[in-house]
Amino acid sequence: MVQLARSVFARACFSLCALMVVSVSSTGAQNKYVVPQDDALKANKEGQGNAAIISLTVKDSSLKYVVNEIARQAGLRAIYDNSSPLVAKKVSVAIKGLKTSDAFAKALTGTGLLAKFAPDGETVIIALPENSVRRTLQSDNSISGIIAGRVTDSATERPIAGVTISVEGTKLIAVTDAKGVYQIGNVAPGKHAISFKLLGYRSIILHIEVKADGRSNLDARLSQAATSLNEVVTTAVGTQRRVEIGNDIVKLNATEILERAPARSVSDLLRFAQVPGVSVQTAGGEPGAPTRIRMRGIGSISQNTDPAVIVDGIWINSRMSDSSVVNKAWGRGATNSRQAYTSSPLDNIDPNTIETIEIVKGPSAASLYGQEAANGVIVITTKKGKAGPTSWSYSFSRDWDSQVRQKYGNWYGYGTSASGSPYPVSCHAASHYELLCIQDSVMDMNRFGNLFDDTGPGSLNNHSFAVRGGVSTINYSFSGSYKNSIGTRRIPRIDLIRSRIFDVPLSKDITTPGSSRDIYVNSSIGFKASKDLFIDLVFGANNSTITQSDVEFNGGTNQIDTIIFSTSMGVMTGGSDALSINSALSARFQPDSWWNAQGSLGVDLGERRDHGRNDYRQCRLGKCEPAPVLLSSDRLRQNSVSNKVLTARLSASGGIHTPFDRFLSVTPSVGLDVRRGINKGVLVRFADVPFGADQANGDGKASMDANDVITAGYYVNGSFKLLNRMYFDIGFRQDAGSVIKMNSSSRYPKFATSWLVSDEGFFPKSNMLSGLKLRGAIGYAAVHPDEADLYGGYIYSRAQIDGQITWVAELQGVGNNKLVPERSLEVEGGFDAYLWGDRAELMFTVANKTLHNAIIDRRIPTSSGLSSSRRKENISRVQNRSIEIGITTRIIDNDFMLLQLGTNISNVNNVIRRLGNNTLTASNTSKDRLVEGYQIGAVWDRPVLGYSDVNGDGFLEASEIMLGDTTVYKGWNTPKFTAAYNGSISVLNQNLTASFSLAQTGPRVQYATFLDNYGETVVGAPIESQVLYMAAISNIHNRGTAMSVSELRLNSASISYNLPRNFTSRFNAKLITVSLQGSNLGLWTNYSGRDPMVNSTPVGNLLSDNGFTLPMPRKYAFNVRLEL
Amino acid sequence: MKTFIKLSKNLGSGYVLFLLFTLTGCNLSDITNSAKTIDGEMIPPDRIESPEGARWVYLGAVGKFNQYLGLQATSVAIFTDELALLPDLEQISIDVRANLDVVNRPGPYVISSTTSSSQATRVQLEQAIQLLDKYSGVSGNPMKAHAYALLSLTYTMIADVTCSGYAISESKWGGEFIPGRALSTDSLYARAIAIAEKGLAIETDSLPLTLLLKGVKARALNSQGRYKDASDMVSDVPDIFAISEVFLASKTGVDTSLKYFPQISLEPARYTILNNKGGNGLDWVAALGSQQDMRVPVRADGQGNFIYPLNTDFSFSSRSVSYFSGVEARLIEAEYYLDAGQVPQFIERINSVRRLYKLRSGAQLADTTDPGSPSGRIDLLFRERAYTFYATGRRLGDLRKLTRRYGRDPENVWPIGPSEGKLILTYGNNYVFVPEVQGLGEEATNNPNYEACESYEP
Repeated sequence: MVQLARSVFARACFSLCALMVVSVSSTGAQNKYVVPQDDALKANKEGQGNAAIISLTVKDSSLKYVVNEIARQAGLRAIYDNSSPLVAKKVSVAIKGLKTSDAFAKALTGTGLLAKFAPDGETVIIALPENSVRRTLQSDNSISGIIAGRVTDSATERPIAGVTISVEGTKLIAVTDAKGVYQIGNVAPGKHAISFKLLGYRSIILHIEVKADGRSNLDARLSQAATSLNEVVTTAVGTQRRVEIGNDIVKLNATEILERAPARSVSDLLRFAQVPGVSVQTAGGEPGAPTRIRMRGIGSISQNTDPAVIVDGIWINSRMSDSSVVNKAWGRGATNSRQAYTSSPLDNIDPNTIETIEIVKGPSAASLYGQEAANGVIVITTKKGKAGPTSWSYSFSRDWDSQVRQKYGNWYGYGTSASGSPYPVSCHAASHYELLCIQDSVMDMNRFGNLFDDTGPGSLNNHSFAVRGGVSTINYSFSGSYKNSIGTRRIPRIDLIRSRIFDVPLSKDITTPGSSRDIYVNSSIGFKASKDLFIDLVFGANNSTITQSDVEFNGGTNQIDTIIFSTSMGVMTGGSDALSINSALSARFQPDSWWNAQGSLGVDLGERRDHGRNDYRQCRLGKCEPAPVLLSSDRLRQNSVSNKVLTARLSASGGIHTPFDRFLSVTPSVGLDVRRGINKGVLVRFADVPFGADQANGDGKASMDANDVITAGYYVNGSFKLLNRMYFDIGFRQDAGSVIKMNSSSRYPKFATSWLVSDEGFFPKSNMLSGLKLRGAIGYAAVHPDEADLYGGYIYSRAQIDGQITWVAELQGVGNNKLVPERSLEVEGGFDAYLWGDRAELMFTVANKTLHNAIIDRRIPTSSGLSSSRRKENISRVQNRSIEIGITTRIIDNDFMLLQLGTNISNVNNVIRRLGNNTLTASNTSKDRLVEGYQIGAVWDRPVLGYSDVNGDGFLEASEIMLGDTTVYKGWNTPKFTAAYNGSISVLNQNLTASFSLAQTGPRVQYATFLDNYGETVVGAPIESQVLYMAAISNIHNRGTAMSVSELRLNSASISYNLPRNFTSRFNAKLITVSLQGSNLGLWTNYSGRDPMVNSTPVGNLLSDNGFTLPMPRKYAFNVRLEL
Repeated sequence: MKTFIKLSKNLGSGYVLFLLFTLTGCNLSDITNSAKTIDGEMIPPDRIESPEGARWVYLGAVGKFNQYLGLQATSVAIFTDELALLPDLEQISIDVRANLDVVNRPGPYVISSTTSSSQATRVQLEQAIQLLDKYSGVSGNPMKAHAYALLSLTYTMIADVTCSGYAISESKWGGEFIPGRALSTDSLYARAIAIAEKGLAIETDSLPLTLLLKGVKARALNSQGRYKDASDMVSDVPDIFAISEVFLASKTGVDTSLKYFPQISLEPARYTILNNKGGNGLDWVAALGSQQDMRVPVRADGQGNFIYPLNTDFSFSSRSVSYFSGVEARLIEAEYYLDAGQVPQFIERINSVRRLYKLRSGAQLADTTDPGSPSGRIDLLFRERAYTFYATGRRLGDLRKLTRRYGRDPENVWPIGPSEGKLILTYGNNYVFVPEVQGLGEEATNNPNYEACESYEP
């Protein structure tokens, strides 16, 4: 108990720590000590109230009430043994103008209890005198020795307070203080097993030999448990322990992921985390490529299907699927309209500054966060300062990227000219047949090992630093990072040669086409404005620059001919400059110990400017005109995209205390929030731009897309706790907004329950199954249509009327005033099992989400008079089903070694149950058909019915292949089955750690434009290869060949080492860690394209081939991290 | 860093003032963009539902009508002897009507766009009338009367050129859509008449608007074969009266989807005139080339062909394209006299029109004489209409009328077979064509209340 008291008095331990202390120390009598409000963060309060003047008169009230009231007036947190009959004792007290300490003394008179003030200035412990407690803990044995030491977090090296240390086989126990220090006296001499336990960390047992009258030092490093019932997660109603929550919320520790994988963005974190049920597809391996994130399948046919993203309590613009992610200014001009994607707003955040990422997939998401959250929520919490010494940290990463292609070759088949030309010529099947070439050098002209190789080594340098600290009344954090990367795309050597021949110099920016630079800062400050009011301000900003370039020659009949016969040379340059700022101002008001209220204002601003230009030169006979005449329009494009999200939230929660607190406690909460999201994109295209000029004379042609949506909602929620092992959460939310008026607002009821069944008396005690929590949840969500979908749309336009240029309104859409929001009902159930102590954890979840009134973009007849000829209608029903399994195990856990293995498995399926009478979706020739019984995003393709080499030349031509007129189902573009296999081993007191992660996906359909071209180029190629190839190139399968693809990828591997403390202490460093990491180290797949993970169209739900998109690079990274 | 500072300058102020933004609802783009109105920007519904919004919708409808007029005058005209496509068809022998895909190539000027343009014009005019009714009060009467006139004209233009059985749906402002049934050609004309009467019932104190509404009603009556009613309707229209749309040659400032006549005709520089096009075409060279009739703006290439007729007309100056005039009134009267067998009056009306025009030499067009036969008089009437209404989208309707009302053998009306001149164009014999075949195909697919045209006869 002495240790307990010491720990509680620790200066730097916040209330969260205090909660852990009292909770853990009472193992065997759980929740013996309680904080009046049982939510840890609600109790996170600072102050120095023992000098306050207290006045209080009560009669026949419980001592607990008196203690709480004095604490409230003093601005203190009172901690006491809630199960003690002493605190339930009825007392009558008259206190008038006494200091806090005197007030407590008077109130506690006759109880034997004492009030002790913690050095943190905010906590008072009501407990029996130390010596009386000490006596209960002392062994009957004679005093022999002392065990003392320090307990730290293995990941952060920070001290851990509240760890219970017990000498196995005795009643000796101690609890670490805020510095992680503990001491146990009266230990009998001899060998002992010492256990270290703290919920949220994996328990360990260390062995030590204690000498009589000696002092033995025993330090311990605890690693955080991957899943823990007592883990605290953030929800809209506040923070709750996982044990209380009925739906599945995955909490990711960003630091842990960064330790084992070269994650340079939030998308990377999610990709490496391999969360069950969360699909992450990238638009390519170029710097800044965005990702498509889907949770538990594809939610909607025509509406937004991106999850919401909330950073430090505020919404940020997160529409990764929005068309604004496309850099519309970039393109290859008239010959190729290739567009580039720009990074998702999500990736503006430096992962080094992230504390946790919580992924809310279940039915509670919408009821907690509103309509934007119907597709799930990603809740990001950045690292904040904490009271204590100032900590400094710096980390540096250097990445080396390279392209590794599977089964590539013969992109261009080359051979020797039949006419004896010394230059290789392209030697396709047809030209071979026509005896225009001799196919003798196919391999020499392999695209990826010769003049046409368009890749090269890439790199990334990342510097991150942070300083954090604080005192009891104020805390601060400031961090920043600088990231500079060069992608793996290159201008092919042949184009470099040609540019020299044509005497057109190319700058370095052009020869390294893809590069990016990011500067990110994040800061926060929290302070106590008064004894009841706490204010936090968070600010983050990111400046990102992406540059892109390309070179193109036109003319000539093959690549070599263009050296001489090129008619034009185009140099394309473009890029994107983006700045985003997000900030949150939040205040928490806690006038009493049993209730609190908080409000926040948040703003997320983003502006991006894309620019792209094509400078074309007319060329002939190896020379280009020095001052080119522009050949066509749209040679200079400027695209500006701005986003703004404004957030205001107000919420309150409190505990209702009843005489039946032990059996049932109720915590109601209410909240109100308003959100305004504005997205605007303006593309201006200039024609006839003089060479080198940034702008044409006169106005360009502008086009715009924009939306401005305001939503407001409120929720009421009640959390019920029954017998400390059954939890019920009943909530209701209602949203209205600028799109849907109040009379058709969305209402989202939810119900969730969890039951810690293993705490029931009837539950068989077993070493194997040490804990079992059952959970279930049901809730509604809704997605609102856009304003134009309801009312029809007029756009600003200009027309010439009566010889005058006049602004007019031009009709675009008819709208549908009967449209109602898409409404989904999601049900999930599952369990969390803890096996062999906490050696293994098993999570199992089954979810079913049915989307009613799903909105479809239905084609309407020409007589509608609309340019789009589309209209949104509620005619379909969609179902998503998923099974998610997560297993984490510690196979070996001893002084020498920690071996952990884990796996995440999920199976997700999507089915369109009803489509209604929709002729658009029923098109039997489309590759993107929507058909009842099949998935959204299903791939359809024309089948090869037969083929015959009619002319007997050994080559199949397009006319010799017979394909069906109607497309047939090929599969789904999203993997139904995914699995991740993770492992790590730590030795040398967990200072040396190696880890790996494998990712497996089951069959899914992906287009492959880049077949091996075997059928085209090699004489005598198997006829099947020729069929595939010819079908792909003859505009029959114009997105390439749809393949059923499986893959197993060595996602990441790493080895890290914490330098010995005697070394780091020379630099006054707490920690120096060096690590080597690798990602995308191996890929085993039947895919003949570039990379099955890459879907070059992150917008919407469809699939596109990755022909022009770089695959994910192989990455090797070196990291060093320094903490002071 | 330069960019960073540049962007910070914008966003920095936004950040500092974000509380103010929250309260006032200011838009970031209001600060960052000097131009508050951009082509393509969505107009909030509450701005449409206002007197100003109703006016903007009306103006947009006029813009759409102008576009429709341009498409009718150019794309549709290639199926007649009025125009031919110039570019990249020189070496191709085509059956224009049997191979619509050749004409129906990508671009904004394909034949199917005429269908969507006519429907877009019709729907926006209907919505404009609905909004003007609701928000503009008496002050909006002139706009409303004008909208009725254009709407009536739109129905007539649709009926003139399409098959009998054209789908008309209702797309009302506010989100109501009712898929429509097919209307016969006569029903379309009847609706045009009824709409014109609604316009005439509006008090505007505007004589030009009244005359315009009479004119569009007369045009529908005439197309219905009610020649006397039509003639009576336009009797008080002066010879020199004209309601025109003035188009500037310059396109500066307008580069939206609302392309207007000069843009349509100038941009591709693709139209020309073929002499005796397809065998049955007018002898433009003989009849016009020697006389240089100003009604048909052409320029000779020195090799017996006319090139770029529309460019010639629009390249160098603005032009007024009238959609009703005293000239048309006189020709409507002439047709009545022809139908009534009053030949002298018929010839007099024809000549009264000719006297309004001059040759390029400056001399006035000479009077014409009675051809002496009923058939010759019909030829004369439609020849004069062809010259007078050149490139205003009338010719196709007239050719259909020749077979529908006057019983001419289509084989002798439509350009069929090879054309004379440098361009080798062969026209098929599929005179029962429907210009909007693509649009009607989609209509049948997507409109549950529509099946097909009742009759494809002209």
